[in-house]
Amino acid sequence: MVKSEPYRNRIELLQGTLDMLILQTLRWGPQHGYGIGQAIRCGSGEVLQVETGSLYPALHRLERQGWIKSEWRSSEHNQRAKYYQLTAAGKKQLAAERGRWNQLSTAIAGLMGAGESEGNV
Amino acid sequence: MSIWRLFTRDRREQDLDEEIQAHLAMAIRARIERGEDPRAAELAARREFGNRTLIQETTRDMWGRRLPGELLQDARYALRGMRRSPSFTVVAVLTLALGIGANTAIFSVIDAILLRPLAFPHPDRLVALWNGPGLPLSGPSFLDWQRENQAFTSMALYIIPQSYNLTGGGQPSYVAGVATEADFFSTLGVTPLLGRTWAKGEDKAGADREVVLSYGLWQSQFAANRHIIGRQVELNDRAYTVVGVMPRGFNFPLSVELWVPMDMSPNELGGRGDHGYLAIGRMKPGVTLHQAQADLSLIVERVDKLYPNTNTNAHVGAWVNSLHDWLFGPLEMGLWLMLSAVALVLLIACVNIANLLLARSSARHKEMAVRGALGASRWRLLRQSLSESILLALLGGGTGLLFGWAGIQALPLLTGPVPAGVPPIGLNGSVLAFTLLLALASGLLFGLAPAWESSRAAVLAELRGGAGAVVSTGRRRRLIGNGLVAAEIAISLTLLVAAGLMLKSFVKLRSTDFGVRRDGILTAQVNLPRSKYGSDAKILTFTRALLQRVGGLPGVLSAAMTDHLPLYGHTNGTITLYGKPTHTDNSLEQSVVEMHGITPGYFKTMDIPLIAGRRLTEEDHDRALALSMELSSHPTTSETRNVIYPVDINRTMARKYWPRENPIGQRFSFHGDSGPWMEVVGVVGDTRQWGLRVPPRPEEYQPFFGSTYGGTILVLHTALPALSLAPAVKQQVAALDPDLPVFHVRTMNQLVAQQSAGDRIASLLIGLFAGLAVLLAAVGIYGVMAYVVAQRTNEIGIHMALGAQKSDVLRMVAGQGLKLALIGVAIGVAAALALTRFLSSLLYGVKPTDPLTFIAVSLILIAVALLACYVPARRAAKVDPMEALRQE
Repeated sequence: MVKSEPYRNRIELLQGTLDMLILQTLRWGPQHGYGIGQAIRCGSGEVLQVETGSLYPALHRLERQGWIKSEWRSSEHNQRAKYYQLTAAGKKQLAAERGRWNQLSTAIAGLMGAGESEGNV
Repeated sequence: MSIWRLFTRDRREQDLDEEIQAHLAMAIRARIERGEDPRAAELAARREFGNRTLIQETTRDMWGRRLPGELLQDARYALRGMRRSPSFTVVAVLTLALGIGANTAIFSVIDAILLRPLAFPHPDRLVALWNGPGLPLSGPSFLDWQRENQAFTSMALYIIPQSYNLTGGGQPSYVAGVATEADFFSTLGVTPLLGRTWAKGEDKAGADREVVLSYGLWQSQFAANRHIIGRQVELNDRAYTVVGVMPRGFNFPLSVELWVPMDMSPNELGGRGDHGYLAIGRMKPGVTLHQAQADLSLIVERVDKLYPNTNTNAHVGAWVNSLHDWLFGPLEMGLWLMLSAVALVLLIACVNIANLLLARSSARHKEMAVRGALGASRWRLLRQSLSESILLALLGGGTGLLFGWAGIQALPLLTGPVPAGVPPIGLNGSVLAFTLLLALASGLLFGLAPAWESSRAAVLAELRGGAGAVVSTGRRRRLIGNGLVAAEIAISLTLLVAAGLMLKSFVKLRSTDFGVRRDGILTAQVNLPRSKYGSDAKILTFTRALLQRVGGLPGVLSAAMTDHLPLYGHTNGTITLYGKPTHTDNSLEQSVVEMHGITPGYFKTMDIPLIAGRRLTEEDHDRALALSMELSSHPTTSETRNVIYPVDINRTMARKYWPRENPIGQRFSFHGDSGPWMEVVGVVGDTRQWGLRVPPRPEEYQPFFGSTYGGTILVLHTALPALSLAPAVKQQVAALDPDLPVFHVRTMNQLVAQQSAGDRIASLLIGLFAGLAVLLAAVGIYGVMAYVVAQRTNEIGIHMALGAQKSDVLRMVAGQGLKLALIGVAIGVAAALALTRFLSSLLYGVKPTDPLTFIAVSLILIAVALLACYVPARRAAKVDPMEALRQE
């Protein structure tokens, strides 16, 4: 009965990671949900696909935390859209997350590198 | 409807909608710009976007756990669910409302009568005073207490209410009135609405005659005239001055419409053997019932020692009970019974709704499973189901309040006027709180199991996936449903048994042989005012003339006068036997004898058999009249010791006092050794004087000429329909004295019906509740069996394909219903056996374990269960095997 999921060349984002990527994207200025999704996809070379089912809850969560704020504006095509932008608290949060991410990726890279060299022996 | 606005989508909701709309628009535009066909672009964008509703929901979850918002959201879901299945909602709400409404109505009565204090100031200090359990006071005893007590701030004597002929208002009318001592009103703590009551000293002979009116009488007879005070009215042909009007609702003692001062002169109050008075007292703050009783008992003992010769009844003591208990104690058992009955009805209603919800939850199984699979937590699903139930319960509770209110309005139609001192019965704070709690509890009760089941199903579906979970949940659900049905049958059996017992008891009570003829007896009362009929001789002349006229009416077989009707007599006294020691037995019961005045035709008219000796004759009347005239003309000189009245006694009295001797010729006295003496000339059959339930008590019959305590009541026996003689009787009375109205014209059967009215109400109500319970249980059984049949259509199809006959299928389904019914009946019988003994104080002539009732009720329930199975069984038998198999 249970169908096996077809393999997809896509990386599921950890929740904390998506929050950080959104904050990072908004560093360049206000953006709407669609734009944020596109920016992450393009910026990652189509590797990172942001599901709308994760994106919007994340946006609303971040807004509630006070890290981003939103306002309705018209886009370049005269399309009314809800634009999000970083707050001061959000900038601080981004800095903190970046620090943590650097630590984590260094640690993981170190581990993976060690594994690789071991495998090469 | 502003309430709907609460549940409509708020701004944030619209915002989110628009945000998503914008997202889609941008995505579509991007695709079109890349050269896609617009229609394909839109489809692709939507596909890419994913499940919009789900995304909205999970996003909404991020808005934070604001409790009111959450609750509103749950409520909105719940309302949406309800609007999807309006018929289910209506059925459930009405079922609940019936149950809750009945509970509200009964509880409001209990709240007013049993739980709240009397509506008098400091009601806990109010007591009723007696010379012993059920023994009214004697005047001298009361005066002793009033003079010497330490425990009371005040006490007041009053007499059993009488009828007064009131003229000078609107129409001449007959109203119940009571003569009271001056302290009566201040003891109760009530003040008049207008004017005043009377002061001490005005309750003496020779004082101006004053009357206080009830609010109702003031309204109906005097058009609520505020200048009524000081006006003259006539009571029994004597002028009285209206001095006060009592506030609305004050009618203590029950049904009384006017109050007049009582003549408190010691001569008028009678001797120590005349127990004709009632009294109320107000205890000092801090005094307990026990202390008050001890205080009065001490006085009785002391007085006994002071006057060893005059106070002959040493067994007469003091008995104090709280006014509340005296007034409402007898109702307590019945009221709690009613509340238990309606609580059980509500329980069945809850079980039914739980069953309906279970059936519905299995219909919505897929929805739940999907939501579970999509990540809704079990708590979240549970909460949603529960909030539906709670909302349902609140709607039921609200509608139930309306039903309850209607029930409260209808109550007086059943029960008659509400006694004074009862706080208003209605939807007050505590009743509303009770209803709210009841509704919430019901909601939890019927909501929890289905909610648990459906949330379980969702989680199971997620864990296992596929059909396995569904099948096993179906079986569980069936098991729960079966359990609920068995419980319903058990509960309704218990109720039905209670109803059956009450009904049987009522029938027995109604058919109790109380010693007199029932059919063809007409009774009518007249009031002989003292101004015209001041002497025994005048009364005797009148009654003889009236009896002659009435006896000559066509269709009248015999007629007589009496001062008390059977079942309605309450005058008694304590006796001393001639030539025997009085104090052989110290119990009060030992010496109380009912007193009854009659004319010679009474025994024949009422069909009371003569057992020994002879009946009283006209000559006995003449002799008694001569004796009493002699006594009253020389009250001080005459030697009462030698005065002897002829009397008849009943069989109970003969057996009690002269078990081994011939009662004829024996003597006894109501006034100690001082006489006058009564000499027994005959023994007659027993009658019940204290109501249908109370076995015959010792009773003596003496010649009638208008008693101080009772009335002047005509009884006649006719072969015609008794009431048809009423106009003729009124004509005959009017022919003798046109100013003398006739009232309380009733047949003996009406009197019996009136006596058993309380039992009729009780068995009617509990029968109604039991009927409701059985109806609900039948609906429940039908529902479950219909569900089972629907579930097993497949299986039944296979059976039939393999050669099973329609009758086999019918038997299979009905057999399952029967099994359930039998289990329910077994549990119910056990429960009823354990519970009905609490009924025993209400039952008359029926054991609480009456096997016939149990068997009959069990059979009825099994029949009802089979009937409820019949339709689903028929449907099962009509299953087309091919059709059923194809359904898979």
